[in-house]
Amino acid sequence: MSKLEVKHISKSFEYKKILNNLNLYVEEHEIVSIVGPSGVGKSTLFNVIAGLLEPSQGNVFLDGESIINKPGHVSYMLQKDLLLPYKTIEQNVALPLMLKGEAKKKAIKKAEELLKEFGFEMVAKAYPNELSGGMRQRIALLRTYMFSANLILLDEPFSALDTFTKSEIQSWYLKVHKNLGLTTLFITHDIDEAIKLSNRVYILKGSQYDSLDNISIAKSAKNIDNFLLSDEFLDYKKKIIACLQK
Amino acid sequence: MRKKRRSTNINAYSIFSVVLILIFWQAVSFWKLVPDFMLPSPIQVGQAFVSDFHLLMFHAKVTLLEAVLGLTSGLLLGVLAAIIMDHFKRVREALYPVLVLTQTIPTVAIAPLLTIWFGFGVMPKVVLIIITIFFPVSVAMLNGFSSVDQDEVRLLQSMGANQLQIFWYIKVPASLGDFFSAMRIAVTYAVIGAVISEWLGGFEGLGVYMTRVRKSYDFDKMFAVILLISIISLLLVGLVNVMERISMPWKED
Repeated sequence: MSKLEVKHISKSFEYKKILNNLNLYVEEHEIVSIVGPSGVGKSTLFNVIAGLLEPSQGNVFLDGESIINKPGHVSYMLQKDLLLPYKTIEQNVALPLMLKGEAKKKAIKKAEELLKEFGFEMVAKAYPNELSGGMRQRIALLRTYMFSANLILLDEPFSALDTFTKSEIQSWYLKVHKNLGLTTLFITHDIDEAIKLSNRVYILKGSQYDSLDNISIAKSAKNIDNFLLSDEFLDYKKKIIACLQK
Repeated sequence: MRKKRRSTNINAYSIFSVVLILIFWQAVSFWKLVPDFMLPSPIQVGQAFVSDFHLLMFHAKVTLLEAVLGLTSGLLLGVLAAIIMDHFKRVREALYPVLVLTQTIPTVAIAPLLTIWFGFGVMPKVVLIIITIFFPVSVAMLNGFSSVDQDEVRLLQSMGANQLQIFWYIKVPASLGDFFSAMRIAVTYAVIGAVISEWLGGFEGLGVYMTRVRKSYDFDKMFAVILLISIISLLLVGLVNVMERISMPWKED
């Protein structure tokens, strides 16, 4: 059984069809990307999976159970870090636990431990506006993880960062993903990022197509030195671009 | 890491200009450019303030009580109205024009009516203050509530937060800045409202005392009352600033 199964999802707003009969799955411990141009309904699909939006048709299963219209089962992170400016870093990280009804002291303690584990204990008492963009994004990821390690949805989380910070945080995320045994579904319009991070890439093109192209990135490829500059990387990139233009 | 907030309230330049004005005023009186009984000198005002101190304090206590009562009830009602209007769109549409209307009523016109309805005690003063500060408070709070980042709301929803949690974790802290801005306006309105209300009917309070000394042409005493009212208002605004700084630590820099 797959961790996440999206089956025959369609979604229309008024007269416009955004999603048309989409199927996809994510296995446990995988990182799966969905790439596609702006406006093809990536974020709509995410809102459906997060339980914030009801699809016109179809169903979403997490561990075999339907999670349609049931927010609170998967963790969700957006391009904006959305750290609450009026709370300290540790309070922000503790927030998901407090929303679940855990006592404040206990939640803060767990947040402190997590921050310490990742070497962020220095900023635990700081406010988000005192931190750099890359740092805030990492803290937001930790908060997402704190909510649930079951399935993490990332909606272009790194697209607002500069190239250097972005590359650094991508490597950091790969490490974190492995160490914590996460499962991630990742939206991006950056093809390089998709190839670098994922095990598989889905290509979303728009509602006139009713199936998703699916490209697997071989594990062996990622072990190549300078993978990002290799011919294999370029081959994957060509394949994805070809799919998008089809 | 934290920078000290730049104070725009009190600095050396502002003290200098106040001192300059006082010197000019004293000079005008000293050379009798304006007769004493029309404009007492700052020194005379100071003397009146000291000699009348106990009387002033007695009346100030009454005025302050009225202001604080009116302020707290006005704030409570204003915030409550904002919460209800934020939650129910229909209520907002129905109430908002009425709120604007309350702001167009001249205070001086309604104060004598309130005295007729509620007597000469504390009640009409408190009601007048509530009427004056209800509008700025509720509108500012409504503005604060509706200016929250919808993505923050969606994030909390995705974490399974209920309406109350969204209110507590996002709407309350996000609107605190607006609350304190409204409160700064409200405290000055409250003191002035109390004084105006006392002018138009009452037995004690700074407004009553002010009317009394004005009628006997004791202008030095009258200026002493004005001075005291200003000091009270400034102290209250200062108190609001301190409360703001304590309850919004994230705004330090």
